[in-house]
Amino acid sequence: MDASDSDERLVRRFQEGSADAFEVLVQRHGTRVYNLCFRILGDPEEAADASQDTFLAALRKLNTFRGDSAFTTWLHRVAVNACYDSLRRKRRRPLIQIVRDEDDERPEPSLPSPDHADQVVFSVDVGRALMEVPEEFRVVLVLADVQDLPYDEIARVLEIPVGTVKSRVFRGRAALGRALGVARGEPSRASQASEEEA
Amino acid sequence: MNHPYERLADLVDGTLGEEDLAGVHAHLDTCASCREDAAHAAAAREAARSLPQAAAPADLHRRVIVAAGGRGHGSPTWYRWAGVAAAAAVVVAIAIALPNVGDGGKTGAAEDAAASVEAQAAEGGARANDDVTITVEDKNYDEQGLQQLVSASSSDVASSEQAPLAGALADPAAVRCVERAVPDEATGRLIRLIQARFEGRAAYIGIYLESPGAGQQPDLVTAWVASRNDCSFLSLAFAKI
Repeated sequence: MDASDSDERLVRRFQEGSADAFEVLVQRHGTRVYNLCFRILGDPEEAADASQDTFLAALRKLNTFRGDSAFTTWLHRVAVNACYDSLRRKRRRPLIQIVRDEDDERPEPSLPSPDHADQVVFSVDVGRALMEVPEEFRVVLVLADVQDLPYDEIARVLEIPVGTVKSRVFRGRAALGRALGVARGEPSRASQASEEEA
Repeated sequence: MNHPYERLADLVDGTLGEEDLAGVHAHLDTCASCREDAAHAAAAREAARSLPQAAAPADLHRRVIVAAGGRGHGSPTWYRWAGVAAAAAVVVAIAIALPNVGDGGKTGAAEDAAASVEAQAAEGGARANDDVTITVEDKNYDEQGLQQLVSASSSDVASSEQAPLAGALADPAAVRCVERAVPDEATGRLIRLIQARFEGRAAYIGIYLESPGAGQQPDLVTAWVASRNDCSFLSLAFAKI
């Protein structure tokens, strides 16, 4: 098995009976799938489970993959669906409410500046703020700004129009910016944002 | 007021066309909400794009392969031949797609397959199980139903509640038909046969117990679905015991 084989060639080899080809695909895309799940779900364990579910679902569905879209587009679609399943399961679980004290003295997260860039703390803050972005916007935002997919590919992954992708990206970013506390003292509107979608 | 979110996304990305620039700025002049959103969006875009790639757990690859039932003990499991099943489906699709040639189009792939099954039955296939019972169900399974069937079978096996199966002894030809859909690499033991429909097509469903080998207990139940018309592979589901 040549690790430099294209995804599509590996898929064909799998369809011809080579299980090794599937292992190469898992190794090649594992980190990317995990990163997507982690930024959508915000929890390492849930992300690992969703990544595993993604590849198991992919394994079962690969015989129906006919190459109408790129393998990565197809795999992103499977991964996003696994994340939605995980989010649905979480909603069904009894909520353990984490009440944030209104008078919490925790400092507001801040955007980095050359003077006091603490990238690790900043990343944790951004990751946490992402969880305050409504799901439907967060998924698109992660695909665009974390996974760096072009808008037309995101449209194919989610099977929605490109215009809707752009609209959700913009609104997701606005919600993230607000959650990051760019405008200090402003009440968060992130929770209302999904109801206002054009 | 309608807000031009699509074009605001382009503005933040720096890809807004000249022709739209004036209109968007005119909107921003009158819409405080969009001005605020655009400022937040620009900052958030940079923040999200600066996130480092989260490192996947070192054992993710192993977890996937183990969960898929592959590797580990060196014995072929469903994972090893999942690709073979996929290949079988492709072959069937090609056979159906190919036009009949010669013989006035009378000899189709299905007829060939059926004839081959008859021949195999006459020869006495190597993997025939003569003591398997068959249940006839007036049911149309789909992928979800098949998964439920195999999960229920797995639970029965796990809880050792598998009662002696009622039903007539399966016709050896029916057993051979379903086994035609199972790749040679599969090493499972057929424990039950169901005659039903799958997605509207007349089908046999073979329930198999898979073992990691070396005398170990079975750890997987698989359900192979074969067309009753030409014994071709239709689907596969599995469940860990």
